[in-house]
Amino acid sequence: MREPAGIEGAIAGIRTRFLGRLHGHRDALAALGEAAQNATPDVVEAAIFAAHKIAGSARMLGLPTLGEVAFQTEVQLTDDRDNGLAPGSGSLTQAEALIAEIDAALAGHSG
Amino acid sequence: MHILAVDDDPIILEIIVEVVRSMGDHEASIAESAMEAIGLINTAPVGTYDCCLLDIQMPGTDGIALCKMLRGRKDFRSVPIVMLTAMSDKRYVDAAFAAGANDYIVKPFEVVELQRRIRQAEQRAIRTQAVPGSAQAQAEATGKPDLAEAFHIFDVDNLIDYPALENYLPLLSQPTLYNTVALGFHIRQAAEIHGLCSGLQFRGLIEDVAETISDTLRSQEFLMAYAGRGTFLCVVQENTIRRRAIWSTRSISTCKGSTCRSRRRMACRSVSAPAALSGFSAIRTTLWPRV
Repeated sequence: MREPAGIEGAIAGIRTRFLGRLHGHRDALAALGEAAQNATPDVVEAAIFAAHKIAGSARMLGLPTLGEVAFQTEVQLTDDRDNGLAPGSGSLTQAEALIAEIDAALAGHSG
Repeated sequence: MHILAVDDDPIILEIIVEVVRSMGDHEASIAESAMEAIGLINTAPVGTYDCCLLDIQMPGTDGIALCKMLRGRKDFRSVPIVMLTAMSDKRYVDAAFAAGANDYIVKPFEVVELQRRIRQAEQRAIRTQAVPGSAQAQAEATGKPDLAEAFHIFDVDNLIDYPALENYLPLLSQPTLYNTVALGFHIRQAAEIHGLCSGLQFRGLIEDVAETISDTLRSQEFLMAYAGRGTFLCVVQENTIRRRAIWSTRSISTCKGSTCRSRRRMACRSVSAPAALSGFSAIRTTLWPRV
């Protein structure tokens, strides 16, 4: 069986690749922010997808706050969508908070 | 153990691969969709995969549908299937277990927790896996099970393995548990009947009783399992119980041989008392959350 340090090292490598993917997710969330309540279904779906992906992995990669904010963002956007609504101010604020968390995560792990 | 992990998130797949590698003897194959998984399975020799880890929310065919598809194949009937998903709503949990999942892990998961559940699945795989058509599989299908053995019963709606039921209950939230009842059904004189029957007859009898209980409960939200010794445990959402009349022992006692399918009829006739079920009310227990 691999030593604990071994799997920690492997997870650290995955975390680096995960952080690399955050740029694309950030773009999807930023597009939602720009379109705001005029966002097309495609833009909303892309933002939900981004939040879902971050929520699923971040907490397992030692980024619990990012994961929690992503989860809340996914829940809010999904609620609006399922109720046939355009993203409300609550969802947009949550998406902005997620973008801020992404920036913080990227800054915290740069270099 | 060779594990097939299916998830549309490559990062999750990477984590699973690393966790599996960290456990030593295991290896993992990965697929990013249900269709890719089916492709891998169809091109690999029968018996290649000993365990599946399935995400639920995936584009195209979701993990629950994939679980159902796998359970429809003879070579995956006994392979442990663990759902690994962000979907924690009860409807997903229920649907996954009813589709044949043995265990359910909600993301995010701890590495040690995933390792523990994989080991659990490995134990199950060792216990239950036999190559279809092999002498071992034949013996398992026709050999006489021990009276206490909670053997697997196939093709009965909402019937799951007993260990799977044990995995299911801790997933229920506290409010759900307050509205959940457990019903026990016991075949009277099960030990004597077991002594009189061949293996095939005893299995047929248990399957018939399972089917009768399942048919009777079909208007409810429930899961049930065979616990061995002629005993069944059913977990029912109390707010779905609307008509008390359906709980009468009369409606339970419909299995008298003549209604059974041909293979099982022999078993029912020869023991002559397949529906000697004790009343459910004696064992009706509200499930309280463990503190």
